[in-house]
Amino acid sequence: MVPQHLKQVIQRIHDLPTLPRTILKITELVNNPKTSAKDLAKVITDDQVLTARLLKLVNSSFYGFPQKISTVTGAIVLLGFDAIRNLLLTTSVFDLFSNKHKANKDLQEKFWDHSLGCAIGAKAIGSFLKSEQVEELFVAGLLHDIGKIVEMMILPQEFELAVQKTRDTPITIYQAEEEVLGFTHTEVGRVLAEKWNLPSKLTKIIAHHHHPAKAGRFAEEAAVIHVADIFCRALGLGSGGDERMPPLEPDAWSRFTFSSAVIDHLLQEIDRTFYDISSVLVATKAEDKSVSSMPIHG
Amino acid sequence: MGKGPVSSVEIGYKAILEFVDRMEEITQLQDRVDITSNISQIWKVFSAEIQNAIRVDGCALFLVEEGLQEFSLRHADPMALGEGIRNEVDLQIACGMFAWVIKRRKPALVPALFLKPNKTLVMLPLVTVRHILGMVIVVTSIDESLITHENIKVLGMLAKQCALVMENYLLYDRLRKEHERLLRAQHQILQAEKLASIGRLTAGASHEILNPLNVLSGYVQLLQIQPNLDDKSKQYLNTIQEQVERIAGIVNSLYRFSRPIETRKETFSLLEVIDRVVQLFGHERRNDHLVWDLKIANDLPMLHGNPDAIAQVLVILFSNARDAMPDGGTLTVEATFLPEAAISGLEPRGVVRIRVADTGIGIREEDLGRIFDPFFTTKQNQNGTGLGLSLAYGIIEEHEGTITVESRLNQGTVFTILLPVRTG
Repeated sequence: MVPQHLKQVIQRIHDLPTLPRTILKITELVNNPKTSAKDLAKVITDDQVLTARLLKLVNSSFYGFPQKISTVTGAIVLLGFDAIRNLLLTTSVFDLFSNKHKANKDLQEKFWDHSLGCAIGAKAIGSFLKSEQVEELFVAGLLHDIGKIVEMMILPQEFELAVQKTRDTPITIYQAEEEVLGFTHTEVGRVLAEKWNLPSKLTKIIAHHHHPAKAGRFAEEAAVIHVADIFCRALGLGSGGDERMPPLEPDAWSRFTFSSAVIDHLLQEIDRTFYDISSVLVATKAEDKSVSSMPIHG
Repeated sequence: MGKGPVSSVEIGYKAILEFVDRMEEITQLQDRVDITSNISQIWKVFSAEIQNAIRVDGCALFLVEEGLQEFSLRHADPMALGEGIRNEVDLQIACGMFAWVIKRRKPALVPALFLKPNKTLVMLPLVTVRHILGMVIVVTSIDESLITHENIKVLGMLAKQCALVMENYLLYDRLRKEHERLLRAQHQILQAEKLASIGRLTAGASHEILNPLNVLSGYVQLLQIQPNLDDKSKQYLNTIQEQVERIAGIVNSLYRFSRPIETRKETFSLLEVIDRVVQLFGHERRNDHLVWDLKIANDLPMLHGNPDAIAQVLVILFSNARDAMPDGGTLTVEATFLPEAAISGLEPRGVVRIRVADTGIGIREEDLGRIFDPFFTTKQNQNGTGLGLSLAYGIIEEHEGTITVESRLNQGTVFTILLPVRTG
């Protein structure tokens, strides 16, 4: 069942990018509980680039594993099937969108900075809440604004117009998108996520990170992203297209009721980690372009 | 794989349905564990479930020792796994694996380092939002590549359930202990109140008894000086006089001891206190079968503290000694000054040692550790409250001293008290 206004979105966006077949295959495998580590490893190792990238990432300080992981099977059983899927999925998303659109390069980089900041923020909040899914929250943070990237690629003029609107009038990018495009990046993100068959948790978070209460049983996760998004705006990490704070949803905030000391702690943590990671990222990019284009290196 | 998309989707769908069933079973595990079960009973249920979920060589439960922050082996199935798994875990802790898995809060499979060859360890962290409880280690010979997504998920869910059930148990247990402690404290207060009111009553009653006793004693003396008394009457009057004095002695002692214990401290002579208590016991006919052996040094220094409280300790020890020697025996009381000794290094003026030894029935070894616990008593038929030694312990502790016990069954018991010498 597709709501009316989403049909409109789909009609206007004919050419949503597609994920590589390997990633689709991996998603399918992970969705099947009977899949063994061997089955999954076979699909990954068939793709040498993917294999190299996976091993590099699982050995990065993001996971902080005390020893070296040298086989794909080892990585799967150590980190879990879901974690591997999320990892490969995220790298592929980055592949799809990075360096494809020269015109908006500057804005795009700011977007990714914002996404990275939000990912770090979500992870920090998740750790503070002792959540078991800090890694998923990180991925959700990275992908939450994926709809904006799509808009930028497919409807560059309209999107530019929307961005301009936020500068001329006191409205957020979310409102400007509605006015100019008739839909927002959350809806585009949702259509894309569904097309890609992303896990429903990710899809819901992408679709509802501005209104977490609508994310159903993933409302808590969506609220984490929502708050992380606002934290990043406060810290001025990257840009979401506008230079404005999205309105804070009281429902989402009341879930956590962080004290001001906790907020200070989280903001400092996010700021520090962001600069740590992005400086490593710059170095890694320069040193190894062929293997990685993803900012998960700690 | 290698099948058409439709059939693989169908297979996946079926597998997911099975998985949902399995999940439902796991969520019902809690019902099989009563909140009052202990860790062993909880482990039995989960260990069986783990062995049900995956072919294992064995599994072991490690729990974090409270206060120690160390993992210690609690259970191993089979038992023979014990030593090997301990070495394995030591290696895994040393290389940082344990900390990593606990921090990540998710199950992980790693190759075994000690249990070779070709064994795989499944580490299942037992963590909840509030607590890090421990870790379950599953040892399996299944090749790691054959582990399925379902295996990991099911084990992870089992671990989570196990952690929740154990946390419930630990919280419940802590609450229960705290509750018991409060009950004991309340009981102790009630007992102390009761003793205090008995003391007040006794003090009043003693006074009331002494008055008529004086009158009695006066008239007896008057009678004794009457002329024309025959020998028999004289003898009767002498006996009455003796017994009246004995009553007066008992009542006087009772009066002294029943005064409420004051926390006020003073400088006092231990010799006087010991004398007083020995005299009190001498008045009681039921102590007649005791042979007293007093070895009190004459160089005892003055002590600082509450003499009535110290006297109470001696009363408690003497009563116990008496009860331990129903057929008679020797009660040795020894007091020595040890000028060079110290209890905690803070007593440059030395220590006084008091030893109270009986030749009675002794204390069973398994009871020795508990005799200072409140309400612990072996005097089932004699109305023991189980408060005496606990009270004595408290008093000596308040004086910054120590009280210890040694005992041999059917040979006797020795209590040794050390009290620091202080300037008042």
